[in-house]
Formats: sequence, structure tokens, C-alpha cells
Amino acid sequence: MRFLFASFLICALTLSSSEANAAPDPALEGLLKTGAEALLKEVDKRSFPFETQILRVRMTMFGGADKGRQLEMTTHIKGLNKRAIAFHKPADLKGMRVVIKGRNDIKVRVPELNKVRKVASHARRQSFYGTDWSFDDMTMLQLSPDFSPKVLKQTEKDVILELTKKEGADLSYAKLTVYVDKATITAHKIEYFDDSGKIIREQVRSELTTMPAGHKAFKKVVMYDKTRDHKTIVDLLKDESNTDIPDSTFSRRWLVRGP
Amino acid sequence: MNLLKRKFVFLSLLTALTVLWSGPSWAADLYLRGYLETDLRMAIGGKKDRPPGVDEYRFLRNENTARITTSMGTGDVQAVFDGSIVYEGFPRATTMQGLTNREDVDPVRMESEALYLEIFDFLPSVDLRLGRQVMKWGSADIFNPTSVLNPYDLEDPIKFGEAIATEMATMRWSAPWYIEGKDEAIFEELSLTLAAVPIFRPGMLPDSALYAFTESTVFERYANTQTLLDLIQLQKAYEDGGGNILFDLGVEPPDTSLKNMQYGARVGWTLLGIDMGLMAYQGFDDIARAERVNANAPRRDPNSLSESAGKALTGIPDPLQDIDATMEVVNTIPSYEGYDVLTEIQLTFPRVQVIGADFSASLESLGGLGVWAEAAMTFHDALYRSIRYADYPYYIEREANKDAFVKVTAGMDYSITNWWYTNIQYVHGFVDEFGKENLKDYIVAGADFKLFQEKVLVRLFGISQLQDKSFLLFPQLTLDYWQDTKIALGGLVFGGAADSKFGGRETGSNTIFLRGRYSF
Repeated sequence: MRFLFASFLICALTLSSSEANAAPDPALEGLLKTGAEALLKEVDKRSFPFETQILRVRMTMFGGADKGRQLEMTTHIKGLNKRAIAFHKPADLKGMRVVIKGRNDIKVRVPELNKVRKVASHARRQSFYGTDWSFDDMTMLQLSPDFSPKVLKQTEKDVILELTKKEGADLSYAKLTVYVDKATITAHKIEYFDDSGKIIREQVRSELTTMPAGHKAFKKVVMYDKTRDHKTIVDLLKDESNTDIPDSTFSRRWLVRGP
Repeated sequence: MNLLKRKFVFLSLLTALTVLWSGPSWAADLYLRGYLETDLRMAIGGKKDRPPGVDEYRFLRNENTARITTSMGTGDVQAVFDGSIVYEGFPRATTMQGLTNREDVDPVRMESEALYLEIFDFLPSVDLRLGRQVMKWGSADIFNPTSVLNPYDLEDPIKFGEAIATEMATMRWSAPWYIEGKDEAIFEELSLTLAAVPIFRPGMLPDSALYAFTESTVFERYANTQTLLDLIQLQKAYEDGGGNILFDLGVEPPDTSLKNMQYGARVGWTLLGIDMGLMAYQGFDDIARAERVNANAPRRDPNSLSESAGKALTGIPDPLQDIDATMEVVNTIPSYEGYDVLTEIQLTFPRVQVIGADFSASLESLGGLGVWAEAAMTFHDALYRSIRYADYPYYIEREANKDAFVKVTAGMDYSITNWWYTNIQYVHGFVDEFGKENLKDYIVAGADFKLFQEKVLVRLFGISQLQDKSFLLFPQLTLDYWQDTKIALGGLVFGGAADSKFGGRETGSNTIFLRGRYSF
């Protein structure tokens, strides 16, 4: 159940955009006129502008007993729903693979058990290897399907959206605050609130960088857990876009391959 | 393990490591993981049915293991090796000669989980795997009645449910198509796996399993015919009279002829998010049964100085014909001291055919509750047993008719909070149970508590047999404070009457353990 978070990182780390701190994106005005829903959908759209992508990320944890513990994984992405994740660190997760084809379609191969298992969706309640990502974070590949947005306010740099959970959405957050950069129409900060209105997490994305393929991506994402004074830093190590990934990668066949 | 084998092991590992660290251009196709583990266990007593003459508090295991899993290859070809060197930690030297032998002073063994060659797209959408491998089937946790290609490794109760790798050829076809629905695929992951296992490999048993055949009180529970019970009654009389009870256990695995080759097939698919599978197998059950029993008459110790040294006691009627008459005579003899009573038992593995089905799903209407079920129907021929007492003619009894029995595992799991995971299963037919009349019912339940930012895992698991109320508890505390390192402290505690499933001596001692593992 440690894998879902990686799929969320795909969104978090891969964001095509124009220059940061520059003039507002020309499309912004039109989107604001259409409404907050249109703006949020554009943010979602820009979060993954590729057919396929291969990402390698490293997570480092700080706070409490964590003084730099690391996780590392490679994620293969195809479309918005298909993810195939291979773990490299920590060593006891090495060889573990996960295929995700939707919020309720998750299969995991644990090498020690020599077996592929379907993972029931209750696993979303579990945290991810002590990181600050919850499983709900990981399944929120796009925000617009689960949240209704309204513009809270605008600053010189950002449009701040308040997202309220839609009825029937099976998520543990009642509300989000999303800071959308006017120049790039990308979310560079998200605050997470529980049912009582208390802020419980904060995600900050930085180091917007032009990748070799020409698009831009945040190379660093930090998730703060406000309830336990703990943070997880996610570094983007490798980013390949629009490479050929066969459909069979997102199947049980890929999971059972190799040691 | 002889010197040559030891050298081979070390050379293999050294070669693998050298190749990995040499960094040639094709090094990207090499893969390595593994761990170093230390495992110390101690019996803590408290079990009602402790074998006589055995210290209550004693060390049971003192192993240090280095395990390496590596693969190499290019493109669609991959060679995989997974092996361990285990230093056993208990010197075996009992003679002066032994003290000059490193293998006796510092015993070491090698284990291998995999050693195979894999070719992807051997045929279109078909992957071929040749060699030593573990092929696990089924959707349940640990108790998988449909997973029959590899024998169980029951040697280590803490690693219960592990399988022994077997040399086999497997071919898996994965359908390159699926039926797309609105939100998710309606039908996908159709696959067909075929397996052929040339040589049968029996299951690995713990030392304590010997009691099932060598202790009359334990053997009695496994005796499934009146004839065996009569023999046990006779054996007890000799034992009570001071006789020296001896056993000679022989194992006769199926020979290596083509007709004994094992075959298996499984079809799997996902329909509306539910994983399903059907399987079939033809081969042998991997837990041995007694097929021939030769109960010898009490015989004077051959080394004794008496005139009757080595001579058998005569005049005892055949217990297989009339146990009452036999016992009448046996009970008139005041003592059997100085007599050896030898029973020779030949163990074999019954031929079986198995068909089975399994599924697993996530119930969204119940908060994503995970559910699964797995059932396997085993068909076996009529089972016969040859029994003889002394020089009387063999008596052939039918242990079981040609019949079939069904083993079932059904369970569910749920995460109550982000730090509290629960799992419960109903099991009909334990791994060592065979035959319709012998299957019992069990509840396997447990919970994981992840505490202190998941640095501490408290695991409480247990198994209870519903018929005799005996149980097994498996508490464990795992510390994960250091990168790639885990320290585990736990226990294995049996409860129940001395003649119960888990209270009996054949299940082993109450144990505490301390294990440390560094993974790389």
C-alpha cells in the first residue's frame, strides 16, 4: 500500500508551464471569466501533458526519528490512469512493483511472497512507509473530479482556489486551498483541511526547471504534516517524456517478471 | 555441505559481485538485492506436551544468513539466481575426527529460492521460464490450497507458508487485449499458465514432526484406522513394560519415470475489477503418509550378555487378527526391560488430482473491504496400507476409499485507521491435513499496528482450531529506526491440550526469537 503515493507524485512533479514569476498566462483571464471550475480543469490538464512518461524520484524524510530516511522509485505512466511503479529504495522494498489502473484497481507484487496481490481500496487509509503522503493524496491524480472550486482571492502572483469535496467523493479531506501560479497556471502550493476545518498538511512545489524534453517540471516537492511536525522532500531524479511504453507494462505480466 | 560445494557457493557469489561492481556497458541489465540476517531463538518451556529428556529452556536456532537475489541478461532474456548461505550456528562435531572437520565444527548450508532462465515473448505474448522457481497460485493469505506446484517449507514455523523452489518449466500466455468500460476495464488480464514439474519434491518438515511417527501418544492422534490404533495399544504396553521403543522411518518418493511427472494449469482474468482464477493439477500430495508398517516382536538387545541376545519374543498372537488375545498374552509378561521393539514405517506420497478456483475483490460499498476466497478439490485413489506384526502375514487395509475432499480459505482485510490493519481468514483443511475425514476448521486472525511514524510495528497474529480449541499466538515487535535495517523480537506460543493440534509436541516448542536484518 506504499505505492499509491508515487502516482500522485507524477502530478506533483511533472508540470508543463511557462516561465515562473513572469506575466500572467494569456489564457488565465479567459479561464477566470469562465469560472473557477475551468481554471481547475486547466491546472489538471497542465499537470500531465504527455502520452507517456518515466519518472525516477527520491523521497527523504525528516522529523521525529527520521533524519534523512530515503525511498526511491521509478514510475512508468501512460495516459491519466495507468501507472507502473518499481521500487529501488529502501532495500527491503527493492523488487516490489505496483500497477495502478484507477483508484480501485491496484495490484502489487511483493517479491518476498513470490506473489501478485490485488490491493483492496481500504489500503488508501494507510500511510506510505512513514512518509507524509496519505493514500488519498496518491489517488488524487486530478483535483477537479473530486472537488468543487471557487476563487478565494487573488494576489499579484497567485489565484487562490478553495476546493470543497464533492458529495460522494471518498476522500479524507473536506477542503483544499490551491495556490495557482498566474504565470504558469500550475499549482505550486496546496493546503489540506480536515472535517473540522483544521489544516493538516501542506504541499509546496519548487525548482521549476526546463527538462531535456523541453517541458518544465517542479524538481522538488515538500509535503509537511502539520499534525506531527514531519516533512517529506521529493526530488525528481529523471524525467523522460513520450517514450514508448507498451500496454503490457501495466499488467500482471510485468509484475511477475524477474526476481 | 562438502568442501567442493562450499567453494562453488562462494565462487558463485564472488563472481556475481565482481561482475556487478566491474561496471561494464551492459551493467545496466544486472540487478542485485539481498540481505544479511541473524536469527536467534530459544525454547521457553510452558508447553504441556514437552518431550521427555529435553531441556525446557534451550537454544533452538542460531543462524546467520547471507541472501543474494540477482538477475542478468539483455532484452528479452533474463537469468535469475536467488540463493542463501546459512551458517547454522550449532556445531555437529561429536567425535575427535569431527573436531578436525570444519563442516562439523562450523556447519553451513546453501538454500536456493530461484535459479532459472526466462525468455519474454518466446512466442507472441508468451513468456517461458525454465529452471528452479516458485510458482504461487491463489488469492488467500499464506493458506493457499490451490498453490500446489511447490511443496510447503514447514521446517521453520516462523516463516510458515513459504514454499520450496522446484525445477520446472512454465509458460505463461497473457492476452494482449482487454474490453474497456466507462471508468475501468470490464474484462482484462486474461492469462493461461502451464507448468510441468519433472521430479517430485516432498515438503520440508520441522524436526518436531518426527514425533508424529515416533511417539505413541502423538502417533495415536494421526492413526486413522482401527488396525493402527491396535498396534499403538500394543506398543504402549511394551513401552509401559520397560521396552526400548525404536523406529526406522523410510521415505519412498515417486520414482523419476515420465508417468510421475506433475502438470499444472491456471487460467486467470479480471472481470469488473474482480480477480478470478481456475486451476488444475496432477501430481502428488507433498506431505508423507505411512503406507507400510512392520511392527517387529520385542527382541533382546543383540549386545546383551544373556543367552537370548538378539532373539525375538515368540508366542504372541497376531494383533492384527485378534488384539484382545494379543494383549492378554502381552500383559502376562511382567517386564520388557532389555527388549528392543522396532517398528519400521515406510512413508509415501499419494497421487492426487486437484482442481480449484479463487477470487479477490475490493468491496467499495463496505469502505473498500478486501475479500478473497480460494477452494481446491483434491481427488485421490483408494489408499491402502500394508501392516505386518512379527513374521505373521501382511495385512492389507484400506485407509481411505477413492474419494475427494475440499480445502477452503476465505478471508477479508481492512484498515481501520492509517496505523491499524486487520486480517481474518477461515481455513478448512490445514496444510498437513489430507482426506475428507481429517480436515478441521481454523480461524486465522491478526492485526498490525504501525506506531511512531511507522518506526515500530506491533504484529499480533493467531490461529485457533475450532474443534479442539487449541491455538497458536505469534506476537512480534519490529523496530525500523535505521535505514535498511530491521530488528524483530517476538514469540511463538502454543496453547491447548497435549493431544490437540497446537498443544501437541509435534508442533514444536514455545519460542522467543530475536532477528536482525540488513537489506541491500
